[in-house]
Amino acid sequence: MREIMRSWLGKNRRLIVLTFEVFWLLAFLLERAASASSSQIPQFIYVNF
Amino acid sequence: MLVRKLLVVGLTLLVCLLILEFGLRIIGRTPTNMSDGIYEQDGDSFRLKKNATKVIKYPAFTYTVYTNEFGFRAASAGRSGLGHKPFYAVLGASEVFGNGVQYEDTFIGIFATEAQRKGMEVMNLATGGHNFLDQEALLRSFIADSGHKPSTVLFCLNALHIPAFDQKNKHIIVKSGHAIDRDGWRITYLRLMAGNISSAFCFFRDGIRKIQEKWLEQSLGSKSSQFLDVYSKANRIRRPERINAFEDYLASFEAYCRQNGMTLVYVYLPLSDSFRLTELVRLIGENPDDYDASFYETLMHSYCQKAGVKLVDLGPALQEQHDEGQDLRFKLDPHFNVFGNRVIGEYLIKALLED
Repeated sequence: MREIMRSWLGKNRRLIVLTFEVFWLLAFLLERAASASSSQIPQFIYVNF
Repeated sequence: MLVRKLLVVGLTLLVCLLILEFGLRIIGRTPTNMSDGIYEQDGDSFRLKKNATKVIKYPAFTYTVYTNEFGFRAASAGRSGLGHKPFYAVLGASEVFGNGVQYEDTFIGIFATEAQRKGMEVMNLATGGHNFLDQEALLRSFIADSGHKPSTVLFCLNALHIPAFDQKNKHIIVKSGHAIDRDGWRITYLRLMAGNISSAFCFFRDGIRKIQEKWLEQSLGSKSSQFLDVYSKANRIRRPERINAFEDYLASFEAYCRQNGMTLVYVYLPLSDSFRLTELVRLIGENPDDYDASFYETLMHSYCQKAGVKLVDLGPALQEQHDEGQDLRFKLDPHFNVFGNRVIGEYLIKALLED
């Protein structure tokens, strides 16, 4: 089982690393952009519930 | 080959989400809510739970809701202290309920503090999402079940609810305290539950909302067309037969109040964005001449003069603050913020308690 896992990880290493990098890059950018200071937004969405 | 790649990406994303979930929880960023919502089933509709305490966390605001023994928003959960005192019953929707602000900062909370000094209590029957008919049914059942009868009814009206005067909530299902339309309730419920249990979901949801708040110029949500439509000169509420039907409805409610010895006062509350209607209409490329923000206010003035019923109009007081550049609403939500609530509360005190 361990061998199968290791071989599967080895075969897909590039794709796994790429997905991992893209995910954390997006999460980091989202956090930075959300906490950066900027102007206000006149948005109107009526939520009654 | 493609399926294998998608499987690898999917599994990697799952692991990343799990790491994010644990990481967020470790640094104290818990999901939106870990408990139930504040509603209970009321026939085919919904109402607030009795004796509830709930912290509501949304991207736009965080506030606590307490309900009293009758299931109305109050300063604390449990007994109302109503006794045999005379009291005001306030009818309305989310802006009267006080979405987004603590009870003592809501205009009803401000008004109630002053009313209590004068020996009167205030019962806030307003519930977010209720229409006139839902509120009337709630008042009637409260009087019938509790035996308490208000001395004065404050009936709060706005431009979103006048055109829907003959509509009542139906096909509502309450799941885990959340009121959801029965049509397609599963998807809405799933989204609510995701916000309740997953920090990672809240991270992405709140992040996207914050970016909208800070970086976007204008966003028209699905409900925005409804907001603009109520001011359209083509709206069917402006037809004489609809106006007559609306006035008949008000007259029948007045008759009910009279029969029960209750004084009725109408309170007209403009929507926070109505002061910017021309600007908003231009933003979507329409002609401002096709819209009219003053229609409902004029309608209520003319009706109350004819019917001899008192009207408290918040339009001028709020317009004045808006013209001075004050923010009356939350950035991410059109409900009145603490400042807007204070302006309304102080105006109501002057209009109703100081004469």
